[in-house]
Amino acid sequence: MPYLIVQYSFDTPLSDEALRAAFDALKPCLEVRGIRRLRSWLADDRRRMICEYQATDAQTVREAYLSAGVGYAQIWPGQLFEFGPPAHPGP
Amino acid sequence: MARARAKTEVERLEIRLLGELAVLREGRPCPLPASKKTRALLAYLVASGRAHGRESLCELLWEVPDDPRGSLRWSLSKLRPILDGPGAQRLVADRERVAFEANGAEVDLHCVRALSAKGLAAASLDELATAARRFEGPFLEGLDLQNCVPFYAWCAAEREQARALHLAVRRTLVARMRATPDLAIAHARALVALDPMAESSHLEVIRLLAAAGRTRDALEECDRCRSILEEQIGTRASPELDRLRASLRLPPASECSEPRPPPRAAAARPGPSPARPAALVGRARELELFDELARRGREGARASGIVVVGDSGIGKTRLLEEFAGRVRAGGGSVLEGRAFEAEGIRPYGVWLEALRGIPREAVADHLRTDLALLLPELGAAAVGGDRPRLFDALLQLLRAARGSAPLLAVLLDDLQWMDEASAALLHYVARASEGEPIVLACAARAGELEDNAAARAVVQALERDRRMLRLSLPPLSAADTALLSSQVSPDVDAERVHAESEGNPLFVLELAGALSRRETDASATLGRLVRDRLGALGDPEQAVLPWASALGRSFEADTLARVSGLSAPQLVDGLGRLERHGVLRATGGGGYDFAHDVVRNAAYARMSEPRRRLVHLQIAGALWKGPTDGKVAGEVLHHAALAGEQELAARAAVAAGEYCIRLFAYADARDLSRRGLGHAARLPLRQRLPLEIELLGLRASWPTGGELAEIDGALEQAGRAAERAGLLEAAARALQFRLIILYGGGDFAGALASAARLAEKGRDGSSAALRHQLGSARCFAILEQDMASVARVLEEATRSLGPEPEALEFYWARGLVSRFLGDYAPAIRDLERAASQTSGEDRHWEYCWCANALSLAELERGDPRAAARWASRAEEVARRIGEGAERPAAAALRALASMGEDPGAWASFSRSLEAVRAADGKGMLSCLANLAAERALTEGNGRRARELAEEALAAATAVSQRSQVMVARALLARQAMARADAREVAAQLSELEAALSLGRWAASARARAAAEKVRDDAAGTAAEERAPAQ
Repeated sequence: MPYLIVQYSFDTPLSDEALRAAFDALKPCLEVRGIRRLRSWLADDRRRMICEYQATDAQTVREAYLSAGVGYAQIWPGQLFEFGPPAHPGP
Repeated sequence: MARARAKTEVERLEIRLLGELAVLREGRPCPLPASKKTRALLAYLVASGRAHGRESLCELLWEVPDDPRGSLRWSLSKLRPILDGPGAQRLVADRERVAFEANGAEVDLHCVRALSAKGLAAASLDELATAARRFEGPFLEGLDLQNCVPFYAWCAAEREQARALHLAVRRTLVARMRATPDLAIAHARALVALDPMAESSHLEVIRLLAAAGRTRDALEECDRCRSILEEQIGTRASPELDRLRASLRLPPASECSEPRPPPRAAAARPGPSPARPAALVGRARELELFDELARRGREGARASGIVVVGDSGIGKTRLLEEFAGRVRAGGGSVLEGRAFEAEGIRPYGVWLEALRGIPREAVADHLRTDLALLLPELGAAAVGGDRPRLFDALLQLLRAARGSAPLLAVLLDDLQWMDEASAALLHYVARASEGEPIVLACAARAGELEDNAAARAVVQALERDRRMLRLSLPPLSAADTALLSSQVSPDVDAERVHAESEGNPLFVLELAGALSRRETDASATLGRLVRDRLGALGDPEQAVLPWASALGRSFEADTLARVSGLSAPQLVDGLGRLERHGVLRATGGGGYDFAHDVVRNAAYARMSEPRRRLVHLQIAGALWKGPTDGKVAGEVLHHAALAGEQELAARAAVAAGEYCIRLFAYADARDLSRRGLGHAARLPLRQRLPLEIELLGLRASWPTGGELAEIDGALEQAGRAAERAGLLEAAARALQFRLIILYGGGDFAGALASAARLAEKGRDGSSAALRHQLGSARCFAILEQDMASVARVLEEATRSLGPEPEALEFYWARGLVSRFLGDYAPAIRDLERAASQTSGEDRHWEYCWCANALSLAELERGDPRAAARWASRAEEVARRIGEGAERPAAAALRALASMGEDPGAWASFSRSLEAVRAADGKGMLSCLANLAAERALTEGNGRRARELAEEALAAATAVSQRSQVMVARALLARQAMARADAREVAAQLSELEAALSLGRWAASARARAAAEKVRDDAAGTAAEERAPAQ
């Protein structure tokens, strides 16, 4: 199944409460569409975020977000490149 | 003759179940398997004395997915040499069943039962005294196996029966021996020890003491009884106690011939506790291997860890401590953690212990949100993380903990009790830290490691990968034993110490200490030695010991204060003394630890069964802060289970399981679910069902393959029972959990059927639940999945909420169902109503979606003007949505609507379709491409029609849009017929026939009509082709 990336940007740093509310609202909308959530990255400044999914197509993910009333900046399908475990850090 | 000889050859075998499990051959103890489950199997077969199916034995002890029959076979192979002997086969097994047949073996429990069956009143005094001596402790002491709920439940019930039998024997003895009060007192005191809360037993002791002329002791017993009743169970003593006390008169001091015993604390002050020798004795070879591990770690070579295995008391922990000292001396850092038996239920327990050694300020800011899930003191936790991310953060934390040190050694002790999440993390760290100066030094009890599937698997996997070396710790040699015992006392008989301790260092220390104090006899066991030493401690120590031992091997002083209700001075005094006696040791930060698990077990064994229950009950109550505190819920479960508080245990299992799920410790959550269900099963129906549903729900989100159907079935059954009992909320929860399972498994039909049932419930329960289901129904209608169930939900909704409910989702979903069925007029009416409900509000996407759906419906029913109108409106509003397929789809619909009138319509459509492709809207792409292909066919542009239909087919297949798949295939068949490609026609018709056979709810009326038409056309063509030939 294709990988889908959702990008967000926020004018003000995202609070934990807002983040939790968004994930809670999304959960059933993703489930009903068979969308699999893989992982999310929240920037340290909490103004940007990326979520990774597996879904049939981008529009299905958009509709899940829109149904849940959760905003996003962009949603796009992509390919995954994996590079193995991180290199051994220096002393 | 031969027969007589055979009989004499049978060895005398004695099996003791009352107290610690023991098997004695010709009076000498046989070593038992280290695996607790194997010992439990032995006890179960012997105690029950009947044949059991292999299946039921597996369910009793090996409720694990990995080859339970294999585990049973392995255990039986370990038991055979213990039970069978020359001339006597006692373990009788075939392919189906396993049984223990005594064949002359003496089983203490069976002997006492036989006496009881004969009638205790008819038994002789000698028989009764022998029976009383057989009760060396509670039934199968220390063999609870809390994690095996069926065995635990059986063991608890048997223990209770054995205790009742013990009480009956002692009562009979006391009644018979009233004439010799001096001798009867011991039995009356045993009654008190068995049930300290029973006033009648205390009264018996007082009467006997008074009859024996020991008035002062009788008065002290009165006071002790009163204090137990008032302080521990909060009741007043009976008038009988007051009467007895009043009748006791001490003779004047000058006439008092009764020698007053010295105060208890001073009476038998134990000699110096087995001091910890300054230097490690023996173990030179093992230390070399550890030094090699450290060297390889420092040099960044592929450093394997070491797991030390050996019996309890063999010196595993001491060896790890020695290694830690050497690492520190070499400038390295050390983190130490240990798993606890009660803690198979605290996810990452062993690691939490180890991570506690890392200063908070060493945790990088960017790791805090990830780690806070596990270490809440670091601040707010990240939401929506996953296990790999948590593990990665933990590894980074370990790297930070090393800092600039040349080596970090992570010491993990007692791996046999490690939880699944800890095991997974151990595996990850061992693999991901390869080549880094991080080494793992672990220890585990031989045999018991085999009982823990997760721990065993990770150790085996790391051994296989050559990342972990298994090091079996042998007993000490005679010379090393002599050296060790001389450190306790130079005068003890080292040969005797070595012979009796068999080179077990902890045993050596205890035995040498006891011999130097002249406190032991020839048959002392390690447990008995430690128990005797504890028994000689004073009152301040005795006040603290029960609470400390019930809390577990390691505990915090403030927790002890909270649960025990002891005053601060009492605690300070008691803990200080226990530390001085080498019973406890301070671990820093207000924590304490028993010197060894054997010491903790001995302290715990000194409590009577009712006392234990009371202590655990008080601890569970003091720790439980409600279902939101998942972190301590595992401990609450442990104590509530031991207190026999089934409801609290089941509630705590739910809370602990939810906590595990938050930490991605799914296997641990599954174990908690099983344990909680065991406790819930003993509750009355109305208490049981809601808990049972929540506990099953713990496994709903992440069921393993084989479990799925089982959990779903159990939830269905529990849900229906809850419904019958009028527990609507619980029934609704069961359905919600089933929906999660069914969605997860892709069973949309099942999910919707459940939703429909939930909707039915909505009539009786809350309409909020129904509205929630309407939202799901709308989503299913959008996806065109299982429209029959959507229709049922909508019917239920009209019955429950009235014919015209004020719910946007209702009209939206009903409009889509009508369109699906080809009823365009009601479809358009409903979709217009849905659109109108969104237009006044800031719900652009909803409006846009409905407007596009209306445009499609109008095109399908042949009203392009109306279609163009809706498409324009959708296009206008879609500007406000941002990226997505809505706007280009609207533009494409408008272009389609204007075909035949606008010459630039095709070009416009192609541009819009390209934008839909770019937006990756496959569902919409398939609809648009099919409509355009149809148009191209009517215009006679076969090639364009084919390209578009093929694209529609691919897109519709990708998003499982069955109706659009059918339409595309019908179009491709028509195009193939036009170019007389019989093979293509046949292929498409075959697919269409199969789809048509699925019934009217499998695809839209329009798709079915298209398929039927092409089938009929093909049949007509074939008939025409056949006609000339006829």
